[in-house]
Amino acid sequence: MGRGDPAAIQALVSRKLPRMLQLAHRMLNDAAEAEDVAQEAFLRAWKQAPTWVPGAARFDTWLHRVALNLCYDRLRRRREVSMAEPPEQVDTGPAADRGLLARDTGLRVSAALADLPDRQREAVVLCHYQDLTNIEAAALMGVTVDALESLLARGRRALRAALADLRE
Amino acid sequence: MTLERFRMLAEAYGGSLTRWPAAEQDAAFALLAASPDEAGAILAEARDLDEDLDAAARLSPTLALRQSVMAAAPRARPVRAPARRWFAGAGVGIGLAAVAVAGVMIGVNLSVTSAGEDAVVLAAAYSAGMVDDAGGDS
Repeated sequence: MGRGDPAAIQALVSRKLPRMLQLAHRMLNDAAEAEDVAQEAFLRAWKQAPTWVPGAARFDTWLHRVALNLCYDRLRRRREVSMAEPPEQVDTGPAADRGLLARDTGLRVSAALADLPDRQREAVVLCHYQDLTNIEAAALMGVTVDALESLLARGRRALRAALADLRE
Repeated sequence: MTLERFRMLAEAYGGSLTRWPAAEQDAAFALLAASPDEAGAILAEARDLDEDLDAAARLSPTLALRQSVMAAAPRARPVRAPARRWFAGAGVGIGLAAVAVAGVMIGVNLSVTSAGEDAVVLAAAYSAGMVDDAGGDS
């Protein structure tokens, strides 16, 4: 692949954009915000790539870090807003999602994920949905593998409890 | 591996042994073979939750989002550097140094990383950076 080959960049975006969109969607449970985060993550990637140290992290891991930081910025802002003024209604995503996606189980799972403490949700998202290894996820989160396992186990227990009626 | 550890790993990583930590998979498979009923029940319970989680809605990038990301991507442009330009002005030395450093780094990057995607991004970004550093060549 040549330098800056547009086809190569396009292939990279094709692989990574859906991945970043899913990451942000799982973390934020809001389709519009997820799109904003995915777009911003790439803008930062394009800007920061020249200063990125190769070998320190894979591009995929680095992009995850950028997107997660953006997600946490938004989660923090949400908390500030909700403390100042409680939301009138819960956002369940854009109308297209409500109509087309598996509305019952899918929305229940999304809601249960959204109810998890942030760090537990992050652990579950990175390991289950983003399919990162325990070492990669722990490094991204800045915790030990033992701590990651604890977050995962607590998160999954809470999810199982929240979704228990689906199995009845 | 003890059954207790097996259960702990299932609670953390789910019901597919291939998603467990690589260092523990062999021991986990051995335990599953030795205690198929108990270990199998633990995995089945974890798999139920995995299936529920997989039912969560998935978003696909819209065309507009994809186009917007692509539009912002660094563009590769030929670096035209005739000798007379390199020695023509005050900022040229800096530009030349930047190009040289970037060129070396690209070479290093391409040689030390096996991840093609890393090389693509870096090469594209450096390519754009070189254009800017060399004086806004377009």
